[in-house]
Amino acid sequence: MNIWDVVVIIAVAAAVGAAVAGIVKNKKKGRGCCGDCSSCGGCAYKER
Amino acid sequence: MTLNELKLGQPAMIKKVGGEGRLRQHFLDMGVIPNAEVTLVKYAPMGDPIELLIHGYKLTLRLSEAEKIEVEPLESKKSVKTAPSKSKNSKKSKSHHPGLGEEGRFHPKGSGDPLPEGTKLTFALVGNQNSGKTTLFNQLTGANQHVGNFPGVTVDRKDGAIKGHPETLVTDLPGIYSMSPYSSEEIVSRNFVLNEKPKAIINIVDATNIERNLYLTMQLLEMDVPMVVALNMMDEVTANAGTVDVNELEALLGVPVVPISAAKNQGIDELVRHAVHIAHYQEKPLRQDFCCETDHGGAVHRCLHGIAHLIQDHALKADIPLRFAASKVIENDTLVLAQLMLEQNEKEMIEHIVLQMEKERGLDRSAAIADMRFAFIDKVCSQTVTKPKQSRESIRSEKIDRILTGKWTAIPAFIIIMAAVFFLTFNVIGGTLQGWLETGIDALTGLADTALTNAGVNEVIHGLVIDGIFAGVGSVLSFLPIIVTLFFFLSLLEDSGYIARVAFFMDKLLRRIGLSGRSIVPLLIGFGCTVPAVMSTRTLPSERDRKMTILLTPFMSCTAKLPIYAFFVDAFFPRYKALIMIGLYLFGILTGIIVAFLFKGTMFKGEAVPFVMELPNYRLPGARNVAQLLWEKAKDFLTKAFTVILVATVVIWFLQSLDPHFNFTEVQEESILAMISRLFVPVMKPLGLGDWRICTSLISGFMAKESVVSTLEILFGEGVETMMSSAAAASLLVFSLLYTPCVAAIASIRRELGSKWAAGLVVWQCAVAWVAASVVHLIGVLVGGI
Repeated sequence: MNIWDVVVIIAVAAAVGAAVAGIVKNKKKGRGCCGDCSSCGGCAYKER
Repeated sequence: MTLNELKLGQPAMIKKVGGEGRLRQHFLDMGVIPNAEVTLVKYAPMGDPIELLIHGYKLTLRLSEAEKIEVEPLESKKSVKTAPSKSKNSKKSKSHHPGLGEEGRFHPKGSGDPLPEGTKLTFALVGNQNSGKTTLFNQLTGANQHVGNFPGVTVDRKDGAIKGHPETLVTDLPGIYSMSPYSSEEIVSRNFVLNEKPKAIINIVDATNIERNLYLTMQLLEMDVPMVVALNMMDEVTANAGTVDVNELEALLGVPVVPISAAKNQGIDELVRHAVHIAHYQEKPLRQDFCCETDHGGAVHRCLHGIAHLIQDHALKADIPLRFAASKVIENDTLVLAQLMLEQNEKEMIEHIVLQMEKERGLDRSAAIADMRFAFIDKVCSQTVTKPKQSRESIRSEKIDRILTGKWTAIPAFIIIMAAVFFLTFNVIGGTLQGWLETGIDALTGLADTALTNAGVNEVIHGLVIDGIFAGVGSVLSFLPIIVTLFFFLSLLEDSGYIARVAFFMDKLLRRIGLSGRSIVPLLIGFGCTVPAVMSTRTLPSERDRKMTILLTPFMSCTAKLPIYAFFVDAFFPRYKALIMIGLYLFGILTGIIVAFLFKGTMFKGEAVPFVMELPNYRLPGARNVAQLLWEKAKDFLTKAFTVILVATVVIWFLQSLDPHFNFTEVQEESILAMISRLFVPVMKPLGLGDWRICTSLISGFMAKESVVSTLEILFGEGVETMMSSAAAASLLVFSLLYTPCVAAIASIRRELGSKWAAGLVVWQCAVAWVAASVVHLIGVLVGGI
């Protein structure tokens, strides 16, 4: 295993970690942006 | 005669409004009241529904609903009641400005009874559908909520503070026509005003359609909550040589009236000043009593005031504004009656009073109240409004509608428009941009590949990055231009007002399968992507229609399935390419129709909701609004690609690369994924799809349909034609068309209907696909021996 293996593993782990954190964050907030701003209002709802 | 028997262009006077319950109340609230003049403007291309002109705006009704309305034809040039307007010859004396809602005029500066410092000033933004509430909300709060030109775009409440006033909170409520709850979003609005007791109401009134809008205003005044009227679209009125005497209107209504143009950001500062002032000082409407003492001997007046005295203690106890409670009691509003908890004796007394009023007035209870309100509105408008005969926007809309909703041109125009949208999306704009993006992603993948190779990175890690993450996320990312382009066109169609017309002329067809015209929007979007299609069902007014539409949307073949069709048709049926592609789309629609009939006869018995809808004028979509929507869609898609899809890609890669003992394996048959897929082989065998690799590709399609083909290519290599029969290929095509939607679509269905419905839908779609595919396979084997 060379130094680049470690760097790539850390990069992939960081990306997956950030992705999971993003999913969890959205879940915790209850309603993330569903992209359907025409009828959702979820984001405004969160700010209340 | 009844309204459905009226000739085109012939004016008539409404004599009696039939029907019952909420629908009838809705008719009355929309201005379909006895003695109102109505003109039949147009039949939808299939003869049903019809478009009417009433109180200066266009309303659609089905023939079955029009049958319930009795009319008396009028001679064309002798219509009794034209749009109320000030006489052209009337002397224009400068009206006195009452100065309501202004410090130093309504009460001396510094006096009054202000709310304690630090009190949150809550506002309800209330108005008719499509009157510009969300545009005003965005102007007031600086928010970026999407605005549409389709009645009912806002289906949920939204909150925000007024810019520069952190002590305020404005709630944008769904558009309503009256305080009689007809649809679920109307209940949301009414409950908010009644139960959450905002400190003030900002009532947005469409000045181009002031008569119908003031109907709601009058009911809001009855709520006895401080209120300011925002007279929106005044720029359109003045541009068409119309005027509104704002001072006089303010004096007659007893609340501040501020002319504004929400779209052009005109008059907003003045509106904010008035709104904050009346909320802070709790300046309630000066007038709540609109009934006339002399009209028909004061029948309605005496009835209203009599009942108001009778229920005063109950209204106080139930914390319902008295005047509002009295008129709702007369209208037999069950929700208000339940809250008042009247005794039997009181109920009987009220019934006697109402019966006497009906006898004296010659109208039933609901019609009498609606008539009283419209009579007051007529009086107000005749004193304050100078309406142009027809606005430029209306003339332009009529011209466009001659083609887009014309008897012989509507359907061909619709087909041409939709074909152009899909052609431009998938071939010209979206397709080209997708090609460029794919080239970019490929170049980036190549660079990363070379860099990892040169760095001597371990092969397993190299495979994870290139074959897993780059291939997986990259293939999904490449669809970004298609999705954004499709939404660009759909947004143009919606914002211009065309989608409302499509709902109008498709209503008859959709009603046969148990849906209403409004369901056409989600179904059309379903050909692009099921996710936004499911979300767009929120604009449907009934829960039944919403559920049914969501369950039918997956039958509309989404674009992600196109690569599967292209792959198999090229390999097995190259001579019939176009025929089979079109056939698959039609087969999906046909299956959807059969399922709709099945639903209509079982789970969703009954009829679709009445199609009582306002047709808005065509408007040029705002560039900012469209750009903002596209940005939201792109941002959402990118977020999804780098969260859910990234994680899913990594998980699938590991399942493909590890054997059951968690050792990395080069032999795919030994992978965990293959092991899982083999469980499905016995089920898929009758379809001619008893190969674990096919099962694997179909499972990967659950994550994203695009990955079916890439998985097959990896697992089969080049020789898929030699590994399966044509009958099996046909069966696979049908199965791919109908089986479970991807995980993103299921997630959106879960969000709308809950976990049980989402899980049920997965099983149901797979079952339908299995039956259809096995039939196709059987026919293929028996008939063609293919």
